[in-house]
Amino acid sequence: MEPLVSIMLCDPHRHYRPGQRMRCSYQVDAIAADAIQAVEASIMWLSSGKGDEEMGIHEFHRRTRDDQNTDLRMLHQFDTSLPNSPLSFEGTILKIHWVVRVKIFLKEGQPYSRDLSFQLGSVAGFREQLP
Amino acid sequence: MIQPSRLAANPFSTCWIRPDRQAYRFTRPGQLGQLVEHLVRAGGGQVVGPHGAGKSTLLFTLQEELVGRGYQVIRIQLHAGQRSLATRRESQPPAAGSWLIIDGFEQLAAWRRWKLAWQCRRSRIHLLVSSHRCHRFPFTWQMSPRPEVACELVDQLQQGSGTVVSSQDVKRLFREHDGNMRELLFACYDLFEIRTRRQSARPG
Repeated sequence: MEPLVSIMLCDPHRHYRPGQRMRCSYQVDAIAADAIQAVEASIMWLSSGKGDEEMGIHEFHRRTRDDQNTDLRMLHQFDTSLPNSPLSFEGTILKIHWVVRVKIFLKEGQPYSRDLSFQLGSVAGFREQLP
Repeated sequence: MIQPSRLAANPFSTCWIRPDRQAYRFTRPGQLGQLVEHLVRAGGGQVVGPHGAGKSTLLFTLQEELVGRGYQVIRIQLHAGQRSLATRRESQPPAAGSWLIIDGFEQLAAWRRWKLAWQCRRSRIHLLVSSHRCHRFPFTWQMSPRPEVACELVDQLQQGSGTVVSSQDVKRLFREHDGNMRELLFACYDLFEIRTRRQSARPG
């Protein structure tokens, strides 16, 4: 059975301005505490479309299970100032998506990851012509 | 490796159609096993076909199958104009009995191809290559893409998004691109974008 990962952002509309502070929290459930080796949380952008895929990591946290952190399932919070670029973009041949990605490394089996998308800025004045 | 983003709504985005993301589609069940048996018996071979026939996809599928059978496999991708194998001095040479897969073998200069084949024979390394034309190998798998396979692939890619590109579209595109599956899938990407954007722009 897959673990349950809940990711929450401070803005319920998930629309942020460049430079704005973003607070994020996440929690893991439906899995035993000792089955988790580490949890990584990233704020990152990914491109998709017709060309090569690119990605960039803006913020990265890794927590491992040790004497101080015996239960990685507990609610965990972090915050960051979002960058000025690249902005979220929905073009025809290129799209840029911003996501919070939480990746769980299990003691056995493949890592499990969950994404929550959000919008960073808006590309004003851009209007694409359909062929 | 970058994980495919579930956010990529266009099923023909690179993240879904890359050669390492799709298993090669054989026309008959059990054909993969037979092909691997032939290759193992011959001690290597070549996959020959035109541009966009699915050679890289087939090599990834064969690589997975060989690794599953316990072989050590090293894969090298050669790009246009790459005339030699850029190997790091510190990297370990492949062990005897392992497989060396070269995607784009024809990029190498003739004497380098010959030298590599000779070195592999001498070191008992199985050489498996893809190329646009036939070279001297003990086993050859000739590829010729078919429109039915293209239709199946496009249907499978659209399973989560609904049919936007029809079988008629695929057959037309297959003809227009002379059976080049890569170009066909790029054209499907454009069709998907145009049609879904027109649909969402329509009032009501």
